[in-house]
Amino acid sequence: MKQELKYIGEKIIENAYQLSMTVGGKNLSELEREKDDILSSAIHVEYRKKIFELFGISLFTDDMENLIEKVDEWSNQAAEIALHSGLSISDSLRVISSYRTVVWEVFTKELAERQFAAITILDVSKTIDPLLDRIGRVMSEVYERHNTNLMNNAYSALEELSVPVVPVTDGVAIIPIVGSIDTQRAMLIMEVSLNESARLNLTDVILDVSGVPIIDTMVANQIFQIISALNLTGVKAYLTGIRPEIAQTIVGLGVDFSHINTRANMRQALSEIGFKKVE
Amino acid sequence: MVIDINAEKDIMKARTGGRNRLRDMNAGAIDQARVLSAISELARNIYLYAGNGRLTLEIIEEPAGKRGVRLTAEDHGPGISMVNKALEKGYSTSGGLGAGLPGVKNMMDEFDIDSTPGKGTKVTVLKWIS
Ligand SMILES: Nc1ncnc2c1ncn2[C@@H]1O[C@H](COP(=O)(O)OP(=O)(O)OP(=O)(O)O)[C@@H](O)[C@H]1O
Ligand SMILES: [Mg+2]
Repeated sequence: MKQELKYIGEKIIENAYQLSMTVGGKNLSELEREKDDILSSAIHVEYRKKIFELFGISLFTDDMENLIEKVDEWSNQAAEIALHSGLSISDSLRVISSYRTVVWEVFTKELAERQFAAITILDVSKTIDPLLDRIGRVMSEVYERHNTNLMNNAYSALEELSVPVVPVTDGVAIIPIVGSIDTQRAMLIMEVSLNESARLNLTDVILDVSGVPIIDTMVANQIFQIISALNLTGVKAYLTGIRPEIAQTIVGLGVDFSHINTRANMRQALSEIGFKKVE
Repeated sequence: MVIDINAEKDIMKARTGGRNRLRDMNAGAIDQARVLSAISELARNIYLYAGNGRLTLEIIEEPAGKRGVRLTAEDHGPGISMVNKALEKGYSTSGGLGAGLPGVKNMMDEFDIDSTPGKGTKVTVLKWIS
């Protein structure tokens, strides 16, 4: 029986390339034509060949641990390749589970003639099935990580959107801030306004806070810091949109805004900047 | 209304809760802004200096029809060793403006602070709503 397993293993290794082609060429009913083309591409066939070789080795190796390590390595990379080819996780898993039957394709003659003992066939499954499960698991993990990264990226893109820098004329931009400012958002406003000022060569920036529900001491302090950082980089900053009730609480808190260029509204700040530009 | 303060987002939660209560009371924009900034200051102090604590908002109604809002901010954090200093404008151990406590004291109608080093801090304020 060991002899039989070794025979099967070696034959799989020998025919690894052909098996790999079978996966691509085989028209997996659920997969669309376009995905089938991807699976038949040279890079996929070449790469897939390696896993069939590993399946073959698994049937007679003494060092299963080392083999599992290689399978993990393979799965990681396979997932990357699948991701780059635009295959979804379910496409990938479906393809992987098709390997279960594909390995037998080179044994049609032996199977037809019932040359293998039933127990041997069972042994082959008992060795290869857990490997297939493992591949599925590792690949899912890679997909999951990828998705988390995507989400995080989308999230930070969304965050950046929450600090829009709107250029109005040459060298002048408005940053309208809408919503509450917490420490993280304040840091983001600082970062985005400094980066964009440099990128757009801004000379004047209007920070409009008419959409900020409350200006407490923390927010005031952050605004001061953003404005002095802008000033340090040679950008003149204006603060507009302080609503009357907010002005009252700022006074109530005893916070001094006198060193900040505050203007009643954006129009006022703009006309002042425009006036200066004409000069 | 009782809000546990454990994270920065809880400060916003306290403010949102406070805003809804004040709207229900038909408080004016300026009264609202004052109470909301007091909530913000007290909740942020809890978050910054004690880590955890709780903020309570109660609506007071006197028989004469006078209405007010009482805020209680309580924590079991490190406490303040020099309360008088903490009430001075510009005193901050965190690089802040040091305007929170004196500002709240100034904007509210009643202000009381009880703090014991190693035990915690309790600030109680009251604002009449006109
Ligand atoms: N709940 C508290 N527990 C411990 N220490 C506190 C607490 N609240 C305030 N303090 C101390 O009192 C000081 C003054 O507080 P205050 O709120 O006036 O200013 P700040 O928080 O430093 O700055 P900000 O102007 O941003 O509020 C703080 O720096 C801190 O050392
Ligand atoms: Mg404070």
